[in-house]
Amino acid sequence: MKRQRILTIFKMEMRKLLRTPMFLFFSLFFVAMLVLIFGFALSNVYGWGPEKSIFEQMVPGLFAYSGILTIFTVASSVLGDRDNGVQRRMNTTPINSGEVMVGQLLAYTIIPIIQTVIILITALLIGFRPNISVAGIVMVFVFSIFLSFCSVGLGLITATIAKDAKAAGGLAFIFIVPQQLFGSFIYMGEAVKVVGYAMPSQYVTDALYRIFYGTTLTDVNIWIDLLAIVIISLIIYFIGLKLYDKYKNG
Amino acid sequence: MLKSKKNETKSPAGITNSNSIEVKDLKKHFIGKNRFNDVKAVDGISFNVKKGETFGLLGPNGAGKTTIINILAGLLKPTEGTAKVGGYGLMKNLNEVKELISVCPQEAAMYPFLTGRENIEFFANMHLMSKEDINERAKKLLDLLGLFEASRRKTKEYSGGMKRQLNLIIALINEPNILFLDEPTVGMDPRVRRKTWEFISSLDNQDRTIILTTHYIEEAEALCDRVAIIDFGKLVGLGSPKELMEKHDSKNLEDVFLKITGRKILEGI
Repeated sequence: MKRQRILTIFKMEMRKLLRTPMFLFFSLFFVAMLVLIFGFALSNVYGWGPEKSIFEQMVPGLFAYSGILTIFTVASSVLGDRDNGVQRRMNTTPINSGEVMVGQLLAYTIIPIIQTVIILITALLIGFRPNISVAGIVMVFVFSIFLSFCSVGLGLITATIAKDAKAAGGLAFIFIVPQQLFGSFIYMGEAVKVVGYAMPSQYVTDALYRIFYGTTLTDVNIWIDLLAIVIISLIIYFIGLKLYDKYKNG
Repeated sequence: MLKSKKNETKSPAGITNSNSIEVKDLKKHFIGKNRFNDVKAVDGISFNVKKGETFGLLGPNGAGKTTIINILAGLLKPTEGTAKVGGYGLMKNLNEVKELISVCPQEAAMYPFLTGRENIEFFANMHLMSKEDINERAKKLLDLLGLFEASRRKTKEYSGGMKRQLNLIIALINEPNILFLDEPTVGMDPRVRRKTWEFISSLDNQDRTIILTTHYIEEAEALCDRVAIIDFGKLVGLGSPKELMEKHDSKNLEDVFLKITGRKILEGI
């Protein structure tokens, strides 16, 4: 493992995000925009229960939703690299897949941190007032990072299935839509709640809801959610990496 | 332009050997959905490339040239046969091979959102070059091909010809012992192509082995010490352009190809 190669992959991933308008919008600003819209529209609407407004109930899921969208950016991005031949060219250099993996994970640790900061600031500006400790804020970042790893894995699986970058953009929604409906900011009712537990994002939404609304970190449910998302993320990430490794030469 | 070299130098592997590349009975068969779609892309080819030689793989599109390069660069596994690059077996010592080689692919393989300079640095870092070496070498290569000013711009703004030139610079940044150039001038206008040929010829002064695929006859004649003529995955001719022309009583390599295969090289394109 060479630090020089890992940092080069990390820098390239960050530049890709910052210099590709579509990735920048979907990664950093789309969900912040949803927070603004829902904040204005639903801050004083109490359709889902008497204690909290619909917007307050949606906020934890919106954090998770931003992580889910990473599937789309990863799938489009890695297939773009394959389509323009960069992936094949890299395979003729001495870099190994471990160095690529660490560089990539480093980038997808930083990106959810930026996402979380932007969404949190936007939500606070529009009147969201969580009952959260400093340790709780740290846990929000931890959950976001692990959901990001999971989404990178699902993005790589999408890239394996899709023929090109354009197709990947569409196919990514196979993994995005179910998580959006059953495991993020949309309340589908108690009857389908059980479906949510098949969605990685549900564990993040559930934990963030508790953390934002005053549950202390001694609550075992938060740690169960964390354990679940860590296990799911690592499994999905390594499946994605293995599958994509087979097909990357296209 | 005829050149003949026979260097007996030490390879980076420490093995004294006059051959940079040794290919023996190489086969690559792609299995289709049914037997009618099976393709014998490379069908039992053997050749050696000497150290410091510029060796051309000449043939129409689909002849198997790129498949041979892909195998030698470790991107494809051969169906049968063996190949050694820089004294290392491809199957056993691929990592060592990758330290020695560089590939300039047919397509302009670079990140569109990075500048020309950043693309060069990216691939130089893959080879763990120092910052000083990268700066010095990048400046020299960019100056030589007249891309220094443009290197500050993102490559998505480059013309096709500029991308092809940057493609070549990226391949040369690590000063490879063995350089694979896969159709390096395809898509270039005649003026830029001529300039690129001069540039590739200038590389020949160094102790570097170049394997060049092309379907441009003039390119092979101008740049190569020896050429292997490939058709339908088979080696149909091997030697210096002069030897081949004399042997087949021909004025140029196009005639040689016509006499050997019964068709013109461009018919396959």
